[in-house]
Amino acid sequence: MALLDDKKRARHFYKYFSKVYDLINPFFYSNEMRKIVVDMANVKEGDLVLEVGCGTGFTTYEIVRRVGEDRVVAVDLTPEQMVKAVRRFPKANFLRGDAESLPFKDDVFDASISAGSIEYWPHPALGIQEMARVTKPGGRVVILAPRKPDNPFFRKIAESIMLFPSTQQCVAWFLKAGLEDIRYVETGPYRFWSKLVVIVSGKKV
Amino acid sequence: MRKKLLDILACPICKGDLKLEVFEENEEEVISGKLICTKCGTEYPIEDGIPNMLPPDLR
Repeated sequence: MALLDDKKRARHFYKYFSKVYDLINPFFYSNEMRKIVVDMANVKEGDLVLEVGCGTGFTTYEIVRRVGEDRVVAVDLTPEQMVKAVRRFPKANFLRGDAESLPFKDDVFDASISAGSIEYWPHPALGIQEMARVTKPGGRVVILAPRKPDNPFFRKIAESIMLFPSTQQCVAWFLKAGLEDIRYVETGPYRFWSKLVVIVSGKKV
Repeated sequence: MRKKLLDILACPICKGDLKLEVFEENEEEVISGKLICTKCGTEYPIEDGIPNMLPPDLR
């Protein structure tokens, strides 16, 4: 088992990590990347959007900018991370919840987005299936995941920390969840680290 | 939590409808209270305006 692929452990880790998170995160996740994530969700002003694993609100910022603050419903496991996001977006709807058992009815969101959270889900296929369930037909599910490094040495290190799915694996999970018209982009914050993550988007039929 | 959120919320375990019980609220939102599943009976607390919709074994 990798270091952070257990929910309780991930929660405990983030309780302390949240203090420095906003200082470290920009090295791995840039403004440009969060724009691509929300672009791939195909949302417009007034759409109701779910964000799974909002953390301190980095991606939430971009979703709020596109659809309006009160049209965002954001879920996270850890209250310590969420406190910052709640302070930033007081009109957005925040709740504590688990990606693999989402507390929503079927077909309620125009899009569901999760950036940098799937690596902590013990059953990623189940989480994607849940995101598909709560999304309206015609709406999109978008996931940003750290990509499995190509270099075998770095791959070994990466896998001992947490889950780094391959692009193929992500696409397979989307297909299994019944999503169609699947598109993906491999990108990163720097030119020399241009395939750090994969962003996958699929449409609910 | 704004009361309107109840329209889209469901029990994370059985996906049943929820009933809202308010302890404290202002003009905009519920500050504290609980959500109770009408199907399986599981209760979810609302604290500081934020519903805790985690299944009990993950809290």
